[in-house]
Amino acid sequence: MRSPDLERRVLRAVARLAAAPDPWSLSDGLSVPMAAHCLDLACGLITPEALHAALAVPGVPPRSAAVVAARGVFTAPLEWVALLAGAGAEVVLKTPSTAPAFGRALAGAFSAEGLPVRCTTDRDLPDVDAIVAMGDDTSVAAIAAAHPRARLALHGHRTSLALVEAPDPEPVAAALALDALLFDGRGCFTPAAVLVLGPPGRAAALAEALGRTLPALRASLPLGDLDPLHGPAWRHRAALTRVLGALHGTDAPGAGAAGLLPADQLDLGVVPGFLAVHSVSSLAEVAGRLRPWHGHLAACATDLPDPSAVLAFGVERACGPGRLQTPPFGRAHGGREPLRPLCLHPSIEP
Amino acid sequence: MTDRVLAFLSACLGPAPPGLRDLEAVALALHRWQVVRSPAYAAFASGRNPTSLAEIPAVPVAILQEVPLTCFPPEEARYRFETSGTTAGRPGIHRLRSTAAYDLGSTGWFRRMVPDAPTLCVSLVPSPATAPSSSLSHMVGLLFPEARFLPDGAGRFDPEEAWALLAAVREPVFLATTGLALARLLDVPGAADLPEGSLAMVTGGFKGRRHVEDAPRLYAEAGRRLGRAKHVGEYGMTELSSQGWTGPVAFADADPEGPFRLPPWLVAVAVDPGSGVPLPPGRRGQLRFVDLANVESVLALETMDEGTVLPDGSLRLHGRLPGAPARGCSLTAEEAAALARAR
Repeated sequence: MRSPDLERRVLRAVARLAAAPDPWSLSDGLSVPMAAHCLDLACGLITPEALHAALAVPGVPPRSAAVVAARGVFTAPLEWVALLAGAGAEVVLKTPSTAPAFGRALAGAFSAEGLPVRCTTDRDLPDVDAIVAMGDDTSVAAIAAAHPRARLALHGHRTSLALVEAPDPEPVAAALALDALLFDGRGCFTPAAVLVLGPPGRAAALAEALGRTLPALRASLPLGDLDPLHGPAWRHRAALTRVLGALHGTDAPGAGAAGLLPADQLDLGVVPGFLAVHSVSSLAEVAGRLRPWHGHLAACATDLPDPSAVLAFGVERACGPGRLQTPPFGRAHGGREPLRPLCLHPSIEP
Repeated sequence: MTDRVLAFLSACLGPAPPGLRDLEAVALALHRWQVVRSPAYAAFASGRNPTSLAEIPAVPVAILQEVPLTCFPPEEARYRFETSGTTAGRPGIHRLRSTAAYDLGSTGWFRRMVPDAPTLCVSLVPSPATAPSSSLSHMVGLLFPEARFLPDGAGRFDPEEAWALLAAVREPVFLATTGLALARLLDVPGAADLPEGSLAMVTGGFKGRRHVEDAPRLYAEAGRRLGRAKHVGEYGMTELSSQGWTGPVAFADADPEGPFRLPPWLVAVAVDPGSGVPLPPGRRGQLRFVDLANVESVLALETMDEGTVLPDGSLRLHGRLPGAPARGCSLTAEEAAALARAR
C-alpha cells in the first residue's frame, strides 16, 4: 500500500492547502484568526511520519472512495482525503452545498499534485469501493442504506467532555478553554461539560478560572458567525446556572463563560463558548452520570493519573486537557483504525 | 401587590384604560416584588436593575422544567399547569397559589375580544376536572362553566360522537378546540349546519414542529363542514396567565398566524435570537412576554416561538424558531436532551 511518491505528493498538497491565502473564506463563518489557526492545526497534524504510519495497514486499499463532509468543522475531511489519496484511491469529496469552499480548495490542492481528488455538491454519490460519511445519524444511515456494497466508515453525532482533578486550576482552565473555543465549538471534540473529581471546592475554583480564561482566550480567537439558535441556548444555560449555581465570565452568547452547576444538571449538548463545571465525588458517580450518553461519547480530556480509567465510560478517545481538538493524524475513529475498514481483506486459501 | 395588579387589570378592562407609563410602573414594581419573594428569580435577575419594561430580565421558559419559579413555597401551589407534547423532554410547570389574576384577565379580555360569544359550548379540549394540569382546560372551563367536554383526560374523544352532538345543535355554539383536535374531527366524515353566531376557537400548540403546514386546507374543510360558524384564534402558553385573540372571521379568511390582539397587561417583544436585543416593531424575532397576570410566578418570559410584534402591539405568530445550528458531528441540543431523558 505504501508509495513514497504518493506520500510526498500528499504532503505537498497539504502544504499547498496550509498556504491558502485566505483561510477565512474556506472556514464556513469562523473569524479570520480562528480560521487561520484551525487550518494550521489541521494541516500541521499531517506529518511525514504520521502519514507513513497511518498508511501502513494490511489489505487492498479502495480504488475509489467518497468522503461525505458535513457542515461544522471545516477541516474534517482533510485527514480522510489525505489517507485515501495516499493509499492510491480516486476520491470524490462531497461537500455541503451551502459551504463548498474548503472542499473545492482541498480538491484543488490535491489535484495540483496530480492526485485524483475531485469535489462535488451532488448528493448522488458514484459507485465507489469505500465511503466515509460524517453528519447526523439519520443522514449517515441513509448513505449506508443507499450503498450496501461499499466498505463504510460512518461517523454520526458524538459529544465530548473533560474529567479532571485539577489540583492547580489555572493551567487546566487554560487548556480546556482552548478545547472549548477552537472551531467555535462546532465539532464532536468540543467539550460540552467538565466533571471535576474531588472535593467540591476544586470544581468551584476551576469554574472561576474558566470564567477568566475563556473570555481572555476569546480575545485572541474571536467568535465567528454564531448561529442565531445558539443565543437562546446560551441564555437558557446561563439562566440555569444563575439560578442553580454560579456563573463566571461574560453574558454575551459565545463570548466565553463557565458555570458551576450541580452534577444532576449534566447536559452534553454543546453551547459554544460555555463550559458547565460539575463536581463529582467518585468514578462510580461519573459512570452513573454518563450512562445515558454511552455510545455517543467521542472523547474525554483528563488529567487522571491513569487516563485509561475514562475508557470505562464508553469514550472512544482519551487525551490530556488542551489536546481534544488536535487528535493525532491516523488515530482510531470510533475505536477503529481509519483505513483498515475501508480496505479489502481477501483470504488466500491453499 | 396582587391587589395592585388586580386593580390595574380591572382598570385596563374599564372605560379609561391606563397608559404605557402606568403599565411600566406596575411592571417594574412587580419585578422588584418578585425578586424579593422568589429566590430563583432573584438569583436569575441578580445584579440587574431594570428601569424600563424592555429591561426586565426575561426567564427562558425551559427553566420552568428545572426550577420552581414562585413567590411562595412551591409546595403551597394549588394549581400546577404543565406543558405537554414539546420536544424539550420533561414538562415545564407553572405553579400558582391563586388564579385570581388569571381568571380576571382571561374572562375580561375574552369578553372584550369576542363580545358576542355564544353561551353554549362544546369542547374538544378536556375539562379542568379531567385535566387539572392543563391551563387550556382551565381557561375553557372558566369561560364556559357549563361546557360539554368531550375528551377524556388524555385528550381522546370520539369524533363521531362529536359530529352527532354538533349536528343536533339548534342554537349558536362555541366550539373550543386545538388545531390537532380539529384535524382529528375533520378526519372523520360528518358535518353540522351550525347556526349564525356560532364560533370555533382554534388554538395552536406547535408540539415541536413548525406551524401546521396544512392549516389552509384544514380551515377550508372546517368552513365547508361547520355551517356558518366563524373562526376565532387564541394564543396562549402554559407559562403565561394571559391570552391573545383574533376576532371572528369566516374560516376562508382565517389566518393561523393572527394577528392576535393582546391585553394591555401582556406585552410582547421580538428580540434578535442571537443577541437577545429587542427589535423594532414589524421585525420577525424570538418572542418575549411581560405578563402582569403572572403575579406570583414570574412576569417576564423568553419563549422559543418566533413572531412579529406589529406597531399596534398585536402579534403575528410564525411558529417555533426555525433552523438548526451548523454542526459536523456534535450532538444537537435536542439529541442531548433526548439522551438525558433516560436519566
